[in-house]
Amino acid sequence: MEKFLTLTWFRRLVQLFMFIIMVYGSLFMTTFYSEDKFTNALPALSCAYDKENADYCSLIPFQHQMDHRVSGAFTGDLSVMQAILPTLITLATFVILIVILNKAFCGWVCPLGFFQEMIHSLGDKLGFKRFHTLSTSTLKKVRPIKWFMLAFLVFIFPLLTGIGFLGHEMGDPFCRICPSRILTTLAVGDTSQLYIDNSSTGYMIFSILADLLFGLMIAMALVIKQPFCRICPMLALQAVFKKVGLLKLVKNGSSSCENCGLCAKVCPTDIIEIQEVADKPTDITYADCTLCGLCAEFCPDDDVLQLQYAGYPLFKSSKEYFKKRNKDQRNWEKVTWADVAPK
Amino acid sequence: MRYIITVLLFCFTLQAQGYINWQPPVVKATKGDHSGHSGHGKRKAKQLQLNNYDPHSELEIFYIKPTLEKIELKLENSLVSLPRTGMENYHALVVNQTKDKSINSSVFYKYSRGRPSKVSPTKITQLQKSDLEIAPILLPREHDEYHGSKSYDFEVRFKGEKLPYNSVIFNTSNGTTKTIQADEGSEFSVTMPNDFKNVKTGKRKNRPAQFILKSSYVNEGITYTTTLAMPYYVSPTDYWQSVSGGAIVLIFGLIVGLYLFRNINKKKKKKGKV
Repeated sequence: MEKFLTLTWFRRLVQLFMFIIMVYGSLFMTTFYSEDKFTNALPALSCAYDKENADYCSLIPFQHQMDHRVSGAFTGDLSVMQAILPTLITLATFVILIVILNKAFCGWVCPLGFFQEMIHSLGDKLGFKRFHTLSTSTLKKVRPIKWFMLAFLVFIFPLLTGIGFLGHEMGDPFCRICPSRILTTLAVGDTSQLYIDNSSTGYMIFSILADLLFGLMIAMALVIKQPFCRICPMLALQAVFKKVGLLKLVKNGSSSCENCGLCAKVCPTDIIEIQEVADKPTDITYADCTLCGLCAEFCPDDDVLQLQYAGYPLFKSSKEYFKKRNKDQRNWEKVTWADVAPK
Repeated sequence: MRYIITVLLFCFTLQAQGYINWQPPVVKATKGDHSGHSGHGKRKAKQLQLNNYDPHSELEIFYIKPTLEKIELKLENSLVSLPRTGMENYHALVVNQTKDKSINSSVFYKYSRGRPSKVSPTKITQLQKSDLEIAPILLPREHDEYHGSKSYDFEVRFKGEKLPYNSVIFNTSNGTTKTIQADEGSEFSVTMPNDFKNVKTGKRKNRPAQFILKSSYVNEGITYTTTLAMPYYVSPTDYWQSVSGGAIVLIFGLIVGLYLFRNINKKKKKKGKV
């Protein structure tokens, strides 16, 4: 078999490296303490409950700031400046990181995204019949969920908790159901986040939801590409600031796009809009895009899809690359669990 | 308004042993005032009580900020009020008592909320605060505490250097006592006992207990003693959180997911045949 390093293989190596840093990084890069983590506002689901990681997700500070700080402006405990300054600092850090890597934090850095991709590959090799794309009607129903998750679970419910309208369990509701909390802590041998909490009805419901969602996510990832990413509030929060990111997915027009549609078929989040014809170079970094680059890899036309950094093309689609990539994909799909399992 | 007066059970002073130590004072608490999490930046000034000190000795009391700046404090009726530094992270309350041929010290680490200190807690634990000192290898991280049934590592240092094989006595306010010996690297591990009584369901319904680590060392005719006192809490997984229950729900979710997709595939096949 001809050796050919694809963008996907390169991305897998980066994801593996980032998974090690985002789950075990404190063992060799930072330390156990929050103060020693890199940014504490990472645009990826690297969970703060995993004490061994090198950095953690921005959604936990946002929820805590809504609950304990921003709410202070409503209750009169804090001045407006005292109330919003921490959130502004977290937001500024988040935006700076988005400027640097944009939504590639999802496709290249997020440990939960990598885990789902690995489970999907496993499902493929185990012979699970996979759903290659979700139907348009399903997508229409699923896509808004991430915005509701962002609005209610990350901002509104924690804020209402801080003001006193909701119980304490609603102070960080997204973290309570986030599969990354269970995944990353289990990955470091800590089982304390996989539990049913009997201390109150609210805590019990959240804990059961979290465990159930984690199990469902694994089952779904065997047959569907990136099931949790589609409803992840981080994807939505990144989408708010995607215009300022230096890394973009850019499309140059091609008349064959309408009849091809390969890019949309391979897209892990089923962005069918990618295949629409663009008359001039257009930024097509959609809200659901994770900048994984798969669409550019599988585009059979020269220069039609490009991953650009500050206007400079990092990766461009080409006929030659497409032929090799397609061959490589066919070879990969031929390999089944039966081929590698001991006889 | 109904007030419930509770007296804390922090009365395990070490009069007999004579080790100087910091403890939360005996206080009257009202209902609704026993929250373990009263909100960032909304807490009252905290007081700590110094036990077993000699009023005729030379006392040096200081509060160390996360940035390692020292604030000198005065003792009033055995109590010190911890100043608000407005800085987030661990602070250390230290007392050094010198009398005749004995030097006694005690350290208490307190997590305070405020603006980010941007300094690692490693700095405050590694700073030499007294001649003989027991220091945590790692303090519990933000939003975490010492919990029963979990192990934590500490080390004994003398004048900033490691002190191997020194004996350490471990006491808790719930009555647990054991003697531990530091290893050749001067480190030792303690599993916080699950010695809580009448545990109620829910973290905020249970008050923390206190543990004290004590050690002594004689050098050039001078007796050095030190204590490290901190609170520890009921471990949720010992009482109201079930890890095995969580694992069962996870597996259930996995099975439900697989069952759903099996059915969807069957329906798709049927449609295809029609």
